[in-house]
Amino acid sequence: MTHPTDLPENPVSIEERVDAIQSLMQERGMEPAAFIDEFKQIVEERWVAENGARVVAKAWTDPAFKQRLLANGKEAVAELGLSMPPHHRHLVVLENTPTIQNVICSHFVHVRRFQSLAFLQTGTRILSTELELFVNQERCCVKWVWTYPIRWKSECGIQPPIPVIWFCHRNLPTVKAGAMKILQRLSAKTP
Amino acid sequence: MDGMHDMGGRQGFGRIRFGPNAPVYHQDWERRVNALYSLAVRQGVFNMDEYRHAIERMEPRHYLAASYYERSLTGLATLCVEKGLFSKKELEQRAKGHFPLALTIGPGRVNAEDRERFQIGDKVMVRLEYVSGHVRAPGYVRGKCGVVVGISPPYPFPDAHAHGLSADDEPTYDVGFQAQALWPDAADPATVHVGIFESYLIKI
Repeated sequence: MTHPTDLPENPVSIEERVDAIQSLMQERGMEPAAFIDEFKQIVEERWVAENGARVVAKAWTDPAFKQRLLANGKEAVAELGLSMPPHHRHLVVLENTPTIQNVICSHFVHVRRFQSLAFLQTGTRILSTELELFVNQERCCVKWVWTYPIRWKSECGIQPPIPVIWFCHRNLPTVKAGAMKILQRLSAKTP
Repeated sequence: MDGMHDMGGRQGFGRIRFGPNAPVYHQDWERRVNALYSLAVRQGVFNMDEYRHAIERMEPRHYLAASYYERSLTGLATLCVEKGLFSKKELEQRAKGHFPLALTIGPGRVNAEDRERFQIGDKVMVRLEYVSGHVRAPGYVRGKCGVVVGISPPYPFPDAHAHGLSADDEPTYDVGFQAQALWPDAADPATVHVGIFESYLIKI
């Protein structure tokens, strides 16, 4: 009879485990300390909700851009200086309409926790109660479950303040607020 | 693998705790883990499919009790040991104690011999199969029928890529399932679209 040998009894603290890996990677010449600093800068300054806000605001105000975005998201966001690593081959953008509401469920393993039956089965009802988001009764709710790293965006296809549904992305309200601010600045400039 | 990670459709989790302004990292070690596994992928120690499967292979009680980044750390450590970057003994000497890793990897598989191309509008069924290695179809669509609503470009076939086997890249098909077909008597009318690799589907 086999026994699982790696039961989580009395492991050393998580910080000690991270220190151990980092120190061994350092010895193997991988230069983890430098990469940790680089990564910190990327996360704090480059991967920001403002990026999404700029894309959404442009799509709201520039119909030709919106069409390009829907056709090829990766190329379209490159117009705004936003790049993606090579293994993220595509960016798919979905448009919400008065009758279709898109909800994205990430492929990330940890997010599967949120795909409990209560969430998946009750669709609009759960969205409105769990997320305190009003969804018109006549709307159809479509849930997209990407099982592979095709990056996705659910975007508002019509004028604000219709809510943008971007579930599982913690920056959703920030993206929407950012896009609204950009539009306000643009409106202020327009005579 | 029909493991603990495949929680879609499971019951009993209670209310979803969702914070719109939750921090990206709760503690600094989480950011370090994210950077370290990204570095390992960047330097070719392992690929993302191997990484996901390493997390899936965690001992179930460890998996369920661990936070997201503890799972990430465990996947990273497991693969560094399995790929020979350092030994488990070295790791535990450096950590000065027990460092739980995932359970042993099993065999993978290559593309289905009888796979076929699908078109938008095709009625398809997810094969009724239990795959012991890495597989990207959530259990709640196994054996279920839907309609192809979209086609996405080819990506490495995970069942092989996670196990170091050579295989052809495969497209994924966005298959629309009726929620009430997935969970009879327990769902509101809604459509669930799941991206499904070509080898997982048959035409009906």
